[in-house]
Amino acid sequence: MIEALGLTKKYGSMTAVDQISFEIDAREVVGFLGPNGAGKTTTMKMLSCFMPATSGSAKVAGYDVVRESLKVRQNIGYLPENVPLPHEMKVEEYLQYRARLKGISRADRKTRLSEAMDRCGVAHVRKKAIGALSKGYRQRVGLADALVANPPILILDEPTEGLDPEQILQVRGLIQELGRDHTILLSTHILPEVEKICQRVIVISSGTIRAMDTLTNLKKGSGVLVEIQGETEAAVAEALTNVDGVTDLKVVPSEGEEGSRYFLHTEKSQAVREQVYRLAVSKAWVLLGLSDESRRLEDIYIEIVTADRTLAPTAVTDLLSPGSEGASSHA
Amino acid sequence: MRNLWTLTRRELGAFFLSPLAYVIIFLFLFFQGYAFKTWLHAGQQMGGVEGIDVGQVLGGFLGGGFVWWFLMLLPPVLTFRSLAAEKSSGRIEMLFTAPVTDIEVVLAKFLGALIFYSILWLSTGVYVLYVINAGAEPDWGVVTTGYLGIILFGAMLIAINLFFSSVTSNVVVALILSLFFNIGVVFAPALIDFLTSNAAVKNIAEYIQVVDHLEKDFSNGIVDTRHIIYYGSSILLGLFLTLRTVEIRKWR
Repeated sequence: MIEALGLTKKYGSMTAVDQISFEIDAREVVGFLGPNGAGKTTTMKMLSCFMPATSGSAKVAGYDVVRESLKVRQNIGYLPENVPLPHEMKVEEYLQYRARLKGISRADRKTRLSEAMDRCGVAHVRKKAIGALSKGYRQRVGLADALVANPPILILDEPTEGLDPEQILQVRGLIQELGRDHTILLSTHILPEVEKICQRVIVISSGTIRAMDTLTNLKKGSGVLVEIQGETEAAVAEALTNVDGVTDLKVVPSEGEEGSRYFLHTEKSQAVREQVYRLAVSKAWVLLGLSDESRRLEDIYIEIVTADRTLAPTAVTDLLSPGSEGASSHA
Repeated sequence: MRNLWTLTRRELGAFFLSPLAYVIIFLFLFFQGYAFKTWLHAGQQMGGVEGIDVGQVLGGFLGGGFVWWFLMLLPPVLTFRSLAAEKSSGRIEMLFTAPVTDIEVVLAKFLGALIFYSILWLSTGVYVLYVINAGAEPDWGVVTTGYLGIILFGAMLIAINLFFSSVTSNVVVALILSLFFNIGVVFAPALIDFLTSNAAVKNIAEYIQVVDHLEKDFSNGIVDTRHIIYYGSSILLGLFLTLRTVEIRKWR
């Protein structure tokens, strides 16, 4: 449904989005992740035909975003960042205008309007001026606007930004429900949100795609944490590095625990754990712990995003310490 | 052009949802009423109700007095927010991600302002009715061309001021650019005419001399095709430039 091919956007000499390509299938809910200024909004603006790419192309609903822009726009519902709405208009009045603009026939308008308002929970404020509503309600009016023409594709730029926790849950629930019969691309900073509603994530940083996979794949094959007592760290580390399937090893600072801890980056955790066990037995190490460390999305995200900054080694050790939430929540 | 009417209606609606519209209506009706009274009074001095030269009263009313102030000031206040505010508020994103074409948006902004402007001026038609009621026979030619001139002139300034609103996302800048331009259009030709003795320059000054077009021709019932072409081409130029500026976002 959405297909980007070498999409690039330059503002003067600054490259905001650099050669990104991806595909999103029908009825897929894809999370678009990345730090501020990574190019998420720019990409979404190009997909929703607000501005053209400097080079590359994109097809949405099978139509080219530049050459068949009107067709594309008939098939998408777009919720921009910050949801700019005319404050002086009443909710229903505004949605009615948008429905007309999106070409909904007079006969269907009433049902479409009340359906969108019901789904987004704004039916009871329909007679209120948009300017008098709270941020959460305005966000929902924006969502109702995106939904009103019942487009097959929704492009939502930070749909839960600035909402209170209860509203976040409501909007998240709504998106989950919409995901059953819509193709959705949404950007967000809230990682648990992605885990709850998205089947797939695209991580973008400094304008390029850093990772693009299903959540299960991303979290798979993360690593093994080994804890061994009474041996010199260097000797153990060397032996463990030679284990088949271990791609990298980090000594984890021990926090008053009895043994030394080692984090093995692996492709397949199962096979590695088996070998580590056999190795420990053959060397008569006291094996205190051997665990599969499937990473949390936060960790993966931070790792991917910081990989291109030179701080990578510290970032990885940070990841393994319990205090890593602090590092991820601001991202 | 499917959406033109929807967008135009939204533009008109937006005027009436803002307090600015009511301030404009109040000031306009107040000063136009006062101007009418003054002209009527002047006519009466010359020979009572029966003796009023209706053509002269209406001609003066539609071509003199406060008219110039409103002609210069109304288009900027009707257009300064049109595109500049859409940009500064970000609503332009909502607008252009809906299935509408750029030309529909530009025309709707133009028509919305022009319709509001025309309604305002045509509301002074009650004064014409008043004169008829008082037993006078107005010269319909003068009345019609008077209004035609005012609406054409307004359409020209609205189109050009819309362009100023499209080049900036700052409404104050848009307003100031428009005001300067309009004051220039009204006063510059007279100034050029006064400052130079070169016949060719004087000719050009005379052609773009909008004050004379209105005062000597339109308000006296004369429709000169040169003036129609002058206004028509200026309107097209303004709309064309606005459209191009709106399209610029696609090429940046």
